[in-house]
Amino acid sequence: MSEHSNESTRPSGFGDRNWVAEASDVCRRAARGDLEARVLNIDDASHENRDMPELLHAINHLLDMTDAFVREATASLEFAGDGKFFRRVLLAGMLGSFARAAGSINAATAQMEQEKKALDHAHSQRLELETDFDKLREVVRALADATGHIDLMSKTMVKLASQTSLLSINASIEAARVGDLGRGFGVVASEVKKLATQAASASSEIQGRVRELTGAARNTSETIEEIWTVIRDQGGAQGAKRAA
Amino acid sequence: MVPETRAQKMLHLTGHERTFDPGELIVSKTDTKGRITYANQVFQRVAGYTEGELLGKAHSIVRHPDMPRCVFKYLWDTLGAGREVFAYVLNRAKCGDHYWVFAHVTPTFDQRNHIISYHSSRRVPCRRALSAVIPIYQSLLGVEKRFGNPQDQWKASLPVLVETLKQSGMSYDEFIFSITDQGSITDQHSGAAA
Ligand SMILES: Cc1cc2nc3c(=O)[nH]c(=O)nc-3n(C[C@H](O)[C@H](O)[C@H](O)COP(=O)(O)O)c2cc1C
Repeated sequence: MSEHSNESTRPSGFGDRNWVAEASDVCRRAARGDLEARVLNIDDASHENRDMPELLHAINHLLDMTDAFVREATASLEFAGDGKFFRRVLLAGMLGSFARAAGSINAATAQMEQEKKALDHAHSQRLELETDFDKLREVVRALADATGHIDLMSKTMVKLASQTSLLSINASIEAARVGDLGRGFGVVASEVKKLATQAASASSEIQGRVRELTGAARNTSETIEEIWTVIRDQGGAQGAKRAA
Repeated sequence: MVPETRAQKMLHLTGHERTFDPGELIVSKTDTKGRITYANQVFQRVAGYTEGELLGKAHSIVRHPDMPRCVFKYLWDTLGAGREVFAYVLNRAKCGDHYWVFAHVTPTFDQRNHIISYHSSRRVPCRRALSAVIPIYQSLLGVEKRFGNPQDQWKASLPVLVETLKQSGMSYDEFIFSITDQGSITDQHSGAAA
C-alpha cells in the first residue's frame, strides 16, 4: 500500500514530487488506522524550503510514536489476557499522554496479577479443604459401618438371650421330672433363667442405643455428602473462573 | 544464507561505542524478507546511513559480527509464528562503530491475519541487561566459532541458549523482562508518573 501511494505521487524524478499531496495522503491513511504509512525518500538536500523536510520528518515521528504505543499496548494486553502479567508496556521513549496511558495499562495489569494470585491462593486452599473433607467423609462412613455391625451383633445377643431362657425352662421341666434328685439342677436352671432375662433386657437396651447411634451416623453421613456436593460444585465454578 | 564469515571478519570495526538519547526510538520497517522499507531519522543518524542507502537493503546491513547467529534464528522463527520478539542486539554503524539496542520486533498483519511486514522499535538498553546478556552472547559465539557453515553454527548454539534459559527457570520473554529496568528512563526524562 505504501509503495502504491508513494509511486502514484512520484511521477518521475525526485524534484517534482508533490510533497503536500504525499503528506496529506499519509495522514489520511494513518487516520484510517493504517499505521504503516510513512513519507519515504525525504532526501533533505533536495528541498528548496528547509521547513518542508522538517514537517515530513515530524509527521513520520508522530506516526512512529503512535505505532510504537499501539504495538506495545496491544502486546501487553494480549499477554495479560493470556494470564501472563510480566509483559508490561515499556515506558522508555513514551512521553506525555502516551506515558500516562502506558502507566494506566501497567497499573491495570499489576491489579490483574494481584487478583490472579488471590484467586490461585483461594484455589489451593479449597483443594486442601477438599482433601481434608474427603478424609472426614471416610471417617464418618467407617463410623456408620461400625454402628451397623454393632446393631447386628446386638440382635444376635437378644436372640441368644431368648434361646438361653427357653433352654433354662426346658432344663427346669427336665429337673422336675427327675424329682428330688433333680432339685439342685432345678435351682441352677432357674438362676440361668434369671441371667437370661437380665441379658435379654441389657441387649435390647444396647440395641435401642445402637439404633439411635446408627441413625445419627447415617444422618451425619448424608449431611456430609450434601456439603461435599456443594464443595465440589464450587470447585468446578472456581476452576472455570481461574481458567477464564 | 550466504557463507559470509570471511567477509564479516573483514568488516571494519573501530571499537568505538555510539549511543542515542533514552527518550528516542530507533524505528525501522521491513518487508517479509527483512528488506528495509522504512528507517527513521534516529536510525539514519545512529547507523550513519542515509535513507537512500538503507531503503531496499537487507536489515543485516547493520549486523555486527559479534552477534550470535542463533539469536537471529530465534527472532525469525518467533516472527514467523506471528509473535513479538525482544532482543538485546549489538549493531554496527557504517563507519565501524558499534551500538547496543533493546529491540522490539513485531509482525504487521493484514485484515485476514496474514503477515505483511515487520516493524522494529529500539530503545537504549540498560547497563544491567547488557551485563547479563554479554557473557551469554560470548559463550554462544564461542560455540559458533567452531563451525564454518552458518546453519551448523546456529544448530550448535541454539541448544546452548535453550539450556541457559532452562537453568534460569524462565521463558525467553520472562528472562528478557527480568533483566530489563522498566520505566526508569521515561521517569527521568519526562517526569511522567509510571
Ligand atoms: C524488523 C526487523 C528488524 C531487524 N533489526 C535488526 C537489527 O537491528 N540488527 C541486526 O543485526 N539484525 C536485525 N534484523 C535481522 C536481520 O534481518 C538478519 O536476520 C540479521 O541481521 C542476521 O543476518 P544474517 O542472517 O544475514 O547474518 C531485523 C529483522 C527484522 C525483521
